[in-house]
Amino acid sequence: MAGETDEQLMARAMQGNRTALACLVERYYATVLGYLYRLVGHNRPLAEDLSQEAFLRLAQQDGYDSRRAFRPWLFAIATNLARDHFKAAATRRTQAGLERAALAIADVAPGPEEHALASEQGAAVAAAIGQLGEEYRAAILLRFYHGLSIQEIAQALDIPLGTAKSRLSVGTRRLRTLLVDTSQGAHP
Amino acid sequence: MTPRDTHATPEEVAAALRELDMSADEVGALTPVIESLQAWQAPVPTVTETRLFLARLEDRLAETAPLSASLSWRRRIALLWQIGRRQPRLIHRSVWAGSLVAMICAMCLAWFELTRQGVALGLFVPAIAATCVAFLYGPEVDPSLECVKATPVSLRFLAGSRLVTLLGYEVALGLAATAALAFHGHESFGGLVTLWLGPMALLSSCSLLLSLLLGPAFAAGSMFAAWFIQFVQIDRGPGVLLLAGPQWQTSPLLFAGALVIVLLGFWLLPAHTRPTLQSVITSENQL
Repeated sequence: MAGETDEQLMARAMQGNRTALACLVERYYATVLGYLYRLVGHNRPLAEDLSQEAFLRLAQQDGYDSRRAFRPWLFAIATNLARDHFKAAATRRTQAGLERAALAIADVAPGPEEHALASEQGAAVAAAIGQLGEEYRAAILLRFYHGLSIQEIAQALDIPLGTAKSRLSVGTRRLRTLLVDTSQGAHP
Repeated sequence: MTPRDTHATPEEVAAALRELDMSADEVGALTPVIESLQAWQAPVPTVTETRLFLARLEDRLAETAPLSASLSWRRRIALLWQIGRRQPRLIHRSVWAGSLVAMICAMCLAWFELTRQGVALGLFVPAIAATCVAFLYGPEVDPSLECVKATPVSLRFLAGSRLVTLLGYEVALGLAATAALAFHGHESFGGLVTLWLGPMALLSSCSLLLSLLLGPAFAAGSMFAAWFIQFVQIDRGPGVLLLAGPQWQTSPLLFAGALVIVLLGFWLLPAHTRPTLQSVITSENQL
């Protein structure tokens, strides 16, 4: 099964083939977990729960069209789950999430000099991305962390191609401003 | 940009930015920003963690698998029997008690010769059954319906098992009353049964359908009224009750009609989302 495409594996998984499902999980668990971890903001247990829910949805699908690209479709499931979570916890998240992100940044454990520097930079990036709107954050994560094309991002987020492009463009500029603000805040 | 989670080269990042119709200056300014994103590392699950994740996923899939996919036929039948035999407890006690009391009253009318035996049985047995069936299923009469809907068991199966149980009870009561009156009045048991069995089936099926569409109170009231108006005719004499017309005697046609109506009701059942008064009030308050 290792030589089969994602789409072929998904078609088999839809017919109840658990080996094909396991193969897809092995291929994509780390990717989905990483995407959701960054999308929900530094919360690994939540990212793991949402990842499980995403693969559960994937396994229960019976209407997947194997002509459709698998990766954008999988990211679409993950994004929709994260959106549902944001909606459900909207009132709780706005304040508590920011506080948690701030705590996470503050809790970065000191280590060797390079590690500390990387952690500091990573925390700054995480904080900046966390301040982007969800729609910009998802587009940037998909493009620059997971290498999806603009067309694939449009499919995954269910938006027109022009909107995907504009979200990336605006999101990248905002990210630059946020990172500059963060670095100035850290080193006044 | 490569299609996997790998570090992109500055050239790849610049190319990705140029795709967004950015000027050379902007590309130059934003390339370090995009490169700096790589500093934020996401957790990478180990092989063991991935296997544990897969095992948990398998467990969840087994929990949520449909009955037909995960159980053998024998196990499935046994499980459905277990579920079905608990359904009578979910029907309100007043339905059971009410129909018993009403049947005793109808029998007393005939027993003490306040009316003819055929009238008492033909009039009351179908009307009682139809009234009770109206309160079989629905948000107004079943407080646990929301929980029931959340289970993987078919709503058709649940409603069907309740219908069979309740109609079985009503038929048993009717047969007992008929046997007692036939013995008391030296009349034909079979002849008396034909007066009510067919109409009971048809009226009950109509009542079930109406309760699903318009609510139990409307279904019970309308079926009771319709049967009385159809059944009771005021003769030339003072208040003499006559039997229903011959078309209402038990016949294969009545059973076929009842079956069609029940099937229609069950077909409507899974999509049945008739708003209750309470839900309308709640939604208006939320607005």
